[in-house]
Amino acid sequence: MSFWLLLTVNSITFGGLLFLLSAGFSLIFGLMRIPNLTHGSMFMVGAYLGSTFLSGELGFITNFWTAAILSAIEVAVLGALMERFLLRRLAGQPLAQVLVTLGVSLMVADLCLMGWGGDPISVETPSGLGGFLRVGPAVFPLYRVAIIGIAVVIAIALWLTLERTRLGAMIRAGVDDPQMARVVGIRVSRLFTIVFGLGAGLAGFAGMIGAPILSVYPGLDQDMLPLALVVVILGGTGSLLGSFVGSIVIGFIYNFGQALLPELAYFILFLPMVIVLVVRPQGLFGGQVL
Amino acid sequence: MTLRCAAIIIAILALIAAPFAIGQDYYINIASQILLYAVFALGIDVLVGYGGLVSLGHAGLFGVAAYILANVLAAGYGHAVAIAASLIGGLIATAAFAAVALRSTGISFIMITLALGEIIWGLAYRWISVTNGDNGISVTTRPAPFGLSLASPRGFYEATLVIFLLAMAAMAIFVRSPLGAALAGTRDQPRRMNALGYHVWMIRFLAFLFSGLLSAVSGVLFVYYNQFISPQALALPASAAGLLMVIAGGAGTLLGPVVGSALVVIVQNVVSAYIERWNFMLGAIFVAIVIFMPEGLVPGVTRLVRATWRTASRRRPRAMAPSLGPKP
Amino acid sequence: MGGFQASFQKDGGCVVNKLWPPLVTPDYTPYLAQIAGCDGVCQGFAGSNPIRFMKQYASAGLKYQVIAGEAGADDFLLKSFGDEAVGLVSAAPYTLDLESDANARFVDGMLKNYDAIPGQYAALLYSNCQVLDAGLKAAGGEARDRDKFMAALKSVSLTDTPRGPIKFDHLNNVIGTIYIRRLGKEGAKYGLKLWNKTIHTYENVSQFWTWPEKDFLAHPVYSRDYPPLTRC
Repeated sequence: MSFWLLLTVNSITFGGLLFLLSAGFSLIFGLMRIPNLTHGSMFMVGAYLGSTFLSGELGFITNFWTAAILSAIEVAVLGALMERFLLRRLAGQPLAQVLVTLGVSLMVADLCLMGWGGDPISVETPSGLGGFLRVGPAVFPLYRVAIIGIAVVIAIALWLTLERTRLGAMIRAGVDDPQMARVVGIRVSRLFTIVFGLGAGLAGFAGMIGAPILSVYPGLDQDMLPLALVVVILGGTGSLLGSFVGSIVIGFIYNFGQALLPELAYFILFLPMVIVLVVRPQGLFGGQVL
Repeated sequence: MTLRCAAIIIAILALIAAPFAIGQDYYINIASQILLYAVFALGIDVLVGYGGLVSLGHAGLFGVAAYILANVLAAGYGHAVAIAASLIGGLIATAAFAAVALRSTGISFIMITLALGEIIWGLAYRWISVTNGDNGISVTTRPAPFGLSLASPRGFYEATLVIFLLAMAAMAIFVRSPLGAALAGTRDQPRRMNALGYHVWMIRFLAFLFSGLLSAVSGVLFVYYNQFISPQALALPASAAGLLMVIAGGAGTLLGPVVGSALVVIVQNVVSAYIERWNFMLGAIFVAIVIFMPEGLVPGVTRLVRATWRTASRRRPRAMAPSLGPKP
Repeated sequence: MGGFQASFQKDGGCVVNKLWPPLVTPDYTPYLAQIAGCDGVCQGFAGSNPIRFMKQYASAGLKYQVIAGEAGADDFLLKSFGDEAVGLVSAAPYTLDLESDANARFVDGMLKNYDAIPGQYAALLYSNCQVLDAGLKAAGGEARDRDKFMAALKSVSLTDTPRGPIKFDHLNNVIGTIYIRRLGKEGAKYGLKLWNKTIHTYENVSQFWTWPEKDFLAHPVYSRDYPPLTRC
């Protein structure tokens, strides 16, 4: 009984982490029409930067949450710079843009190895969340339960931004019809930079939030990127609801697949992506066909 | 034309003589690697360069052939049976792969091929009873066609060279064939091709099969070269490396994938002995090529040389070649 | 893992379940959820994975004693482990804790030249090079005569390696000391907070452990299914 309960809670937790990772991916994909193959790298860089802030090596002491927000801001700036100075040059050539993100992901992986070395870095669970939550016979790590809360808060914040603010309206317009958005006076190129930065920042934040569970190590980027892809393809690009539902579904498939069908775990993880691409290319909740 | 023939013959002779000139086993092995990855890159080039379909899952097809070969050999069959099974199996996998992937084009095609590649990798990684998971499968012997041993680096190089030349010839014939011309047509003007009565899907499907066959051939070469196959050889970075070779060398050219393969293999093996940050270098080269020389090294350098020549002879330089994607 | 299981069962232990996460597993919870009804857990992870495993193991509320092989508690992981790893017992062919001149020289060199606290990967490779060096010296600095060089290599017997004395058996496999360590805070050096403290040493351990060579070689090769599970 506790097996099922633990796995269910963990599926939702993992889904929450995946949502933080893939919400930005989905917005970028929806607006710019390209899969950002550096998204896994952003996640990893966020975790590395956060662990450095946390270690106090920079001369000032931060707590976990400040470190997470600082690294999110830093990764957001890096993402915006990358959009402005690399991807903008290739505007209108989605293939070239995808290839550039692929190249940059190779470079980032090596730069991280140079900066932080090959040894894994372990990040302490933030204080106050190291305990357990007991429900009947089952024991849940408090931090994992907290991740669900963080994901919900971020989801609501993003939703409000998209639905209630001027920026959100512009993003939605850009996702629906970039040409038309441009015609009515929205500076779509600047929007691209903002959204790319925002998405990168979210990925960086997710990296730090995930770090106490996953730790930080070379190759973390390659482990996370395919998961973000699966979630977004499943949920549909440019759709917040799609990312949310997609994340939870993949969280369940990932956890139960490994426990119950270990040999086919990755097969059933990527299968929904193929089925969706073939049967319903716009994803479960996406408005647009890729 | 005679000049061209002479150049080709000289190049082939140089390739045959290469191991005798190089001497050291290490460099002969590097040359074998370049040739076997060149076959892989040629396979990707069929789709990327001539079909306008960018695939990020080809290492999966390469891997299917490689794992079939290793398993059939492990079951005790001879090399001929194993190679035949692996090529046929590779083609069947390609047909299934293509049937799914060809429902789309553009970015969506990239995503589907990536997903399919990940599925095959996932099976290789987790389907332990068939693939032995992380530990991979060893192949202890290399074949000896017509009594010629391939056990030595030199013997293996010459065999790889023969297969590479066959692949180049097949590619040259394919490109000049009506099917090749039709494929280029579907790349540039799919709707018009359709209106003209061409079966666009079938043309792409056949091209995909050819591409898969080349991938399978390189998969077989890979297993015999390393005498080992593990999931790493078919993970996303392997597909990305193949694509990198094609884009870097020049998509839609015969020589481009070969140059690209040489570039990547040399950076990975030779340069990495001197520069620790070779991975960074590979990424930087890739980004620089996509931004500054989007047509790839072979056409790019040709263009530069011609432009210099023209400026030197005070003629008007030709306009820049078009960028990635459809080419005239 | 097969070697552990066979020896453990030979001495009367029961292995009730075996779980096989892939080498790199971001989240072990699907496997941790299946751990129940036992006295202890043996983990065989490597690279960065032991850190995640120990952390997630503790945060899943599991309390069974954990033991590990050399890679699962390697000394280079000490700086990355958290307090949750305290109590981890491991068997390793090299330990940072070994008090010998050779090891002190080695560790000092690693700190000075690479600014790194070595684990078994560095130590064993260093020992390999010592063996090569000794072999080359015995062969008069000449490696071109392969048979002569191989014969010299096989008869190498060293006492001054970081891992202690080593020699080779007639199948060219190494015979050396195995250190049993318990991870804790006591005795930590080089600025580390955690330390693998040696609690027992087995000298002259060959690849056959306590089996007679014939019996050992008669076993099937270790795999996921061999040795089979035992129910007690």
